[in-house]
Amino acid sequence: MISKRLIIGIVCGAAACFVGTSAFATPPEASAAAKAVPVQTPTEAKAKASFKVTLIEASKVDKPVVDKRLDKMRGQLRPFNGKYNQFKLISTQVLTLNKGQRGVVKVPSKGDFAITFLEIGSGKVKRVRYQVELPRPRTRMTRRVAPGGQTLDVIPHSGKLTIVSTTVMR
Amino acid sequence: MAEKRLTDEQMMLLMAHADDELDTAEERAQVEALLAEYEQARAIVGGFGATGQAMRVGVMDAPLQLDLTDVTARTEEQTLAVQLMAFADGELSDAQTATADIDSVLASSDAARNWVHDLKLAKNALHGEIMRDNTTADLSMIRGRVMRKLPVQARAPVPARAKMFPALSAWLADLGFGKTVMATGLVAAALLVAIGLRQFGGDEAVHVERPQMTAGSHGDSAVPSAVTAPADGEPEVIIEEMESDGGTVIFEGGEKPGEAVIIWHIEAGEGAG
Repeated sequence: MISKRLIIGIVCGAAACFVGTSAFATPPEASAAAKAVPVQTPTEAKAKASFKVTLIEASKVDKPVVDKRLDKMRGQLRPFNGKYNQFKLISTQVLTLNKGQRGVVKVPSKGDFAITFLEIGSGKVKRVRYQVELPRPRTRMTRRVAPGGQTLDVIPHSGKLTIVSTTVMR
Repeated sequence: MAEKRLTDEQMMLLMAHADDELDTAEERAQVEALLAEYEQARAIVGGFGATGQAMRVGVMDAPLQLDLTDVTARTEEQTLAVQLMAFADGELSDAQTATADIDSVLASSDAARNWVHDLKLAKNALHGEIMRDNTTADLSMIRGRVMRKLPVQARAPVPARAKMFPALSAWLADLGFGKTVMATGLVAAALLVAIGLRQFGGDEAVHVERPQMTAGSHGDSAVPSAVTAPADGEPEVIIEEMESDGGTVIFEGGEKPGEAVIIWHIEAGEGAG
């Protein structure tokens, strides 16, 4: 297991930094859940990338409820509105990772959602190349995302959805 | 007490013996000792010998060496040999077994019955000895581990979906995976990824069902553009590679600037909602 071989660190201040720049409040457990594993060499240490990771739980209830802290994401959540009408913000945090560093966000009942920052592209658009790992089904995916680009990883479970929004910060 | 297992060297020696390839008296003496000591060794040699004979019949069209004269009136020897091999491997359906009249053949022919018995013994022994390590090895993420060793510049460009899927399937099939996992996707105009992973021990296909998304999941103009498209006109999100060892992964959206790419990770037994 990769996680056993790597030294676990904690990305301190990531969540607190986000509180100062976002309308979302950061739950106290968020910063503790953000862990990073440094594996970069000294020459690679300069390259950094920040990822805003927002965990949302979607479910079906009698009375529609959308967490007010998700107002800015209503558009992104629109595709789920047909079957789900309650959206709760679980946590929001920012992972600032050095090249080769791995950050982990705990997904309730599912394990760790991990991001490993690989590199920043050299093209006109400075795409951030990173790897995402999900536990069940075990999936590993390498993405190249332009600054501001957003992905929503959706994990159905027990009639609910856990939505992991990842935005590459500018 | 657990039975002693043959070593790899002993297995090779037995295979050489079955193929009449032993060179020295010492090797032959070793084989004799193994055959006397190990039931497994006898099964392997018997299986290899019989299989070798059948292969010679099937491949080289030589006369069948097995004594099946008591049943050859019913069918061609070669056809019977092939059918018996398939039967021993569990590859014949009940209907095929009945059609080939395998039961009657086995009931009336000691040679056929012994041959099938040896084939089964050899199959089990080979699976236990040779395949054991392979079946417990985790090959699910091997492609990713290899790809991570390659610099980006050295990687071949991602082909279009129509070309990518057969290539991946063939590659993964070569690895011996047995369970199919499908992933389909729409990531702007970038690429659609479809991966079939095959794992040992299963052969059923996992159906891919696109989740029932509401209107607006694709390019709804009401979706706010929180982000802008790259100046070069390429999509904001590109899925470079993906591995999954179970469930279904489906891509949605991301077709317009500012539209998030939705990636469903659906575990077996879970619905997409």
